[in-house]
Amino acid sequence: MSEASASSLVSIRGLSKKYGKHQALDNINLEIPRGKIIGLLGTNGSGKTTLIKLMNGLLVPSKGQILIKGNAPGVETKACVSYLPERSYLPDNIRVSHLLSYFTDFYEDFDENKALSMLSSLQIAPDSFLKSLSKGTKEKVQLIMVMSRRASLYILDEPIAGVDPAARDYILKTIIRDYNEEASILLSTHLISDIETILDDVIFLKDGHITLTSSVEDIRNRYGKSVDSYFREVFAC
Amino acid sequence: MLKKLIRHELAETWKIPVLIFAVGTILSLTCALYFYLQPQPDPSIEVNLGSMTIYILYAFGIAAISLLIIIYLGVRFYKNMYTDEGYLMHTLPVRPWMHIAAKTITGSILSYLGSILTLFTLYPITFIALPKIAYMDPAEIEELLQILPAIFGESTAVIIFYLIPYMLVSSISSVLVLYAAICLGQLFGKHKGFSSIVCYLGLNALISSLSALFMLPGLAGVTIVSAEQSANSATADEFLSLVLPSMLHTTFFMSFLANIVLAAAAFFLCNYLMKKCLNLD
Repeated sequence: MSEASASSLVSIRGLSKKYGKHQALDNINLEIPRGKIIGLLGTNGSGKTTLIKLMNGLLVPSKGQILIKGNAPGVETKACVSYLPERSYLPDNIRVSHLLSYFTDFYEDFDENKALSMLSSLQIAPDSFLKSLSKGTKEKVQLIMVMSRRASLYILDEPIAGVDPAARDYILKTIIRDYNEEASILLSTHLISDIETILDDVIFLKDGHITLTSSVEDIRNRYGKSVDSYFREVFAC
Repeated sequence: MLKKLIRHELAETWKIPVLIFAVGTILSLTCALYFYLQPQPDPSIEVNLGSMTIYILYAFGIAAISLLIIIYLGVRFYKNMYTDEGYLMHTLPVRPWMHIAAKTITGSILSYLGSILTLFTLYPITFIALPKIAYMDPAEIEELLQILPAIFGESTAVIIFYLIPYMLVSSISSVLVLYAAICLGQLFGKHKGFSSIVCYLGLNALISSLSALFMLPGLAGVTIVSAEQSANSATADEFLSLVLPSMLHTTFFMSFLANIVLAAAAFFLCNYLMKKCLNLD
């Protein structure tokens, strides 16, 4: 995965990001291929969210370049990247149905029927106001919106952190079921054991540097450990 | 995409301004009715303090509409673009200028409606209220109605005809300056909301100072030319009737052009900052 490839979905070269004097990311080089579910793993403050925000054009890099399907973050990449931030980004004063029409209007790849079916599975009424929903339910709505797009790249920042274990299973099943083989999923989380079974590859990020890019199978074969156990060993305090 | 952005922006923004307009309209109708029903004061009474207080409070209230709309638009822009909601807005597949254009069009419409409401309520109510605040004989009331045309050298209808596009341009530039100040505030590392307010006050102070600087030589020139033209005028009144309208015409047109330039500059500044300096917390 670390080798540059012409078929890469994402190509990151010499990427650095500084917040004042704090170096959040330092000279990151990374290739993300198509058709993979990749775990972006690291401790708090390791730079995961910064990397994700840079890929979504929410931050401007201090140095380096990100190309998604050959384009720098912008209108073209936003049309093919489906992003779930780690926070609730939905305005409170609208109904779920309004949100559906919002996504339908702005994302050509949004499948409204799929979203309605997922809402129904999780017993969320489309006419409910977002402010009347619990934090966990709002997170489910966000994830439904994001996963109802037929995007080339799904970037999910802590998608299961705020939901109950039952919903977690449903979400993971949804992720596996709904992404197509041409698309990739970059998934950042602390709950490694919960997602380990669905991951193809992992990226370990520590203090703004990539310390490991490997397939899950390689980690199991080489170290005889699960990704979760290996992560705990590498990042032990 | 721009159409869709405007449609959604309008749908999410109209409620609070319309509520403010409704309160303003009810307040104006109540005041108009109150002053209409008030008897004219006795010539021996210099000023009816009660009516005067009510009129002043009303004038402040109606003037606050524009201020409330600007505050609402500023909070909405900041919340929508630079807090958690910004994660949704900035990941939509639209260019930054479209966000700015959609929010400017929506904000300007609302701000413009506020100005129109203020103009078309405060002006007539002032004419209903003044004869009820202090005694005026019919000739004085007639004179009162001629004050504006005398000052501007145009009929009231012509003044309103010029004011309507002027207020539109002024609404657009004030909304864009507000948005530019909020975008500038995001360049600060901490306290971005507070920094935006400081930038807004700073930008307005700068604009006022520059206006005064540019207007002064022009106005002085107009005064000198008009004074020369009216050197042979018989009375001070004739002198003023020539100088004042010229000065106001010049101020009006310079201010109109300055607002267009200001709006364009603020738009490009917003676009540049959103495109090149976005750093969402």
